[in-house]
Amino acid sequence: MPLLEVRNISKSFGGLRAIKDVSFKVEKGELIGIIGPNGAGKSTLFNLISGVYHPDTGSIFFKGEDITKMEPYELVRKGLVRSWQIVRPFRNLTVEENIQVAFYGGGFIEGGSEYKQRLEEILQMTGLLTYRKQLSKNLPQGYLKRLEVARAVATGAELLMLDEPFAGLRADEIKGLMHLIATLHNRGLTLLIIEHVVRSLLELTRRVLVLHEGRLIKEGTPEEVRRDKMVIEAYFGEESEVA
Amino acid sequence: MAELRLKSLTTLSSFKAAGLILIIIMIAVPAVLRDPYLIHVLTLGSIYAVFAMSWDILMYTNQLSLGHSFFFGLSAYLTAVFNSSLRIHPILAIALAVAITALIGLGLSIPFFKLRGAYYALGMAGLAEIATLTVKAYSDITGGEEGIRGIIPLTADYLGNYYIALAVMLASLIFLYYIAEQSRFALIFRAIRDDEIAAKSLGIAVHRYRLLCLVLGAAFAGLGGAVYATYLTIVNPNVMAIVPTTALVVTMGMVGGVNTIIGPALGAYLIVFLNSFFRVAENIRLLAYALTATLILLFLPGGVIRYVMRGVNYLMRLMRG
Repeated sequence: MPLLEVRNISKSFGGLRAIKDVSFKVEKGELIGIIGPNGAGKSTLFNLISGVYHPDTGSIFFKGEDITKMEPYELVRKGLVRSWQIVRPFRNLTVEENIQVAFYGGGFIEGGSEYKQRLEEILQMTGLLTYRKQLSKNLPQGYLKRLEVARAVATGAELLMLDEPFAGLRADEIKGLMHLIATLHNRGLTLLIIEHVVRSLLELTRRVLVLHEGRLIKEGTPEEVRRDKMVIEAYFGEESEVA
Repeated sequence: MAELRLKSLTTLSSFKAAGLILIIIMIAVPAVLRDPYLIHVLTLGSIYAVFAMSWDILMYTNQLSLGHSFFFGLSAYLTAVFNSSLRIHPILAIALAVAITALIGLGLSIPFFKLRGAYYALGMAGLAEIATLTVKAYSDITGGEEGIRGIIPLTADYLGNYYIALAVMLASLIFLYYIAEQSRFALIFRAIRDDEIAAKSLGIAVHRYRLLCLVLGAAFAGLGGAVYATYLTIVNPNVMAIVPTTALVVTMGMVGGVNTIIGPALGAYLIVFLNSFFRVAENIRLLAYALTATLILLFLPGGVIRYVMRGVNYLMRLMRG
């Protein structure tokens, strides 16, 4: 049984069909990238899977359960968590408090050695240990992205969906975040990543989905995607190459 | 709006000590100052403090209400009808009125939770306005513009009323402050205030916390309204109207310091005192009162509580040497 199964979902906003009959499966432990030019429908797809929007037609299954009509907070309790393209820290809370909120959201109650150990582990893994008492509004962009990941992990996510995690980061920050994502993947977390920085994403993933004008036009390895004519055309026109 | 965290302004021990000193002063005041008018002003201050705190608890989950007088007035009228017309004992009448008001708050969550921000605020204002007009229209039950008179008080003794109002205020303050600032909800409230969408996406059932605050806000506004009715033994449509009652509670909250619970309580005493102080110059009373409130809002951002706590902290440091 796949961890996530998207079956023929479509979504329209007024006259605009943002997602058209998209289907795919995600197996446990996979790291999958979703790419596509601007307006391809990547963020809408994420919003549909994470319960922000509900599809007009089609179904979404998580661990075999139909989650099509569920709300975001219900999905978090089931282990499906997302981050945001533009980071959304709780600005007046410290880094540690931000993670504590995620603990509550995931159903972990404060107190006890296990709770503290988990908090320390997440802070350590995400490189936020030294910033733990700082208000998140004072963090640099690179660390805010890490905080997004830290909070998602703290909920007890089984499937983590990252929306453009590398956007707005410097090269060294991208490298650090890629390392963190690889670490999470090695620990068994399943990841689904939307990204505009295609080169970085293709380095990380073994399987890539390509969206164009709301349709899934290609699914394959990074190599297959790079060479695919339809993908090249969708991105840059006939003479170019992806990444 | 600046986020105010009381514990960062002063240590908890000095905070508790200041609170205790204030309570002792409040208990001792009637013995020292045998002025019935002053006691009356303090009693009203305590009642409005409960009302102001109930408005503030809504703000903990971004529910700015411009119609909070609806709950205060509804409970006041229910108490009046139960007590004056149905001859139910004042304590039972208060309990029933508070329970019904809280239940109506619960029911209102269904239409109102579809609204956010200014739409929510204006929706609440509309509700208070409709309720005020309804109360005026059904004069056979509500007494119309004249209101209901002859409510049986909890006690006829002005000192007794003072201590009842003080006890209700202190119990409300301790309970609401615990929920809003000390319990496990405190962190979640702050997260919701910062970013509701982010909170939802981390598994926080935001609507449940909004509902908790709405029901608490309704219940405690109801408590304030019920005690108000039994204290003054009269209610009229003004208790439910946006002007003056909602305008009053919003001013109390803003002057005292929003999202602190203690601040709006302090603001209530301050505004009731200002109102009484300017009573001596009746023709300029409203102007002077409005001007003072505006000056406080302009020059003490974050409310009076921020500066009071700094003062308490400073005094405590002096006393400790």
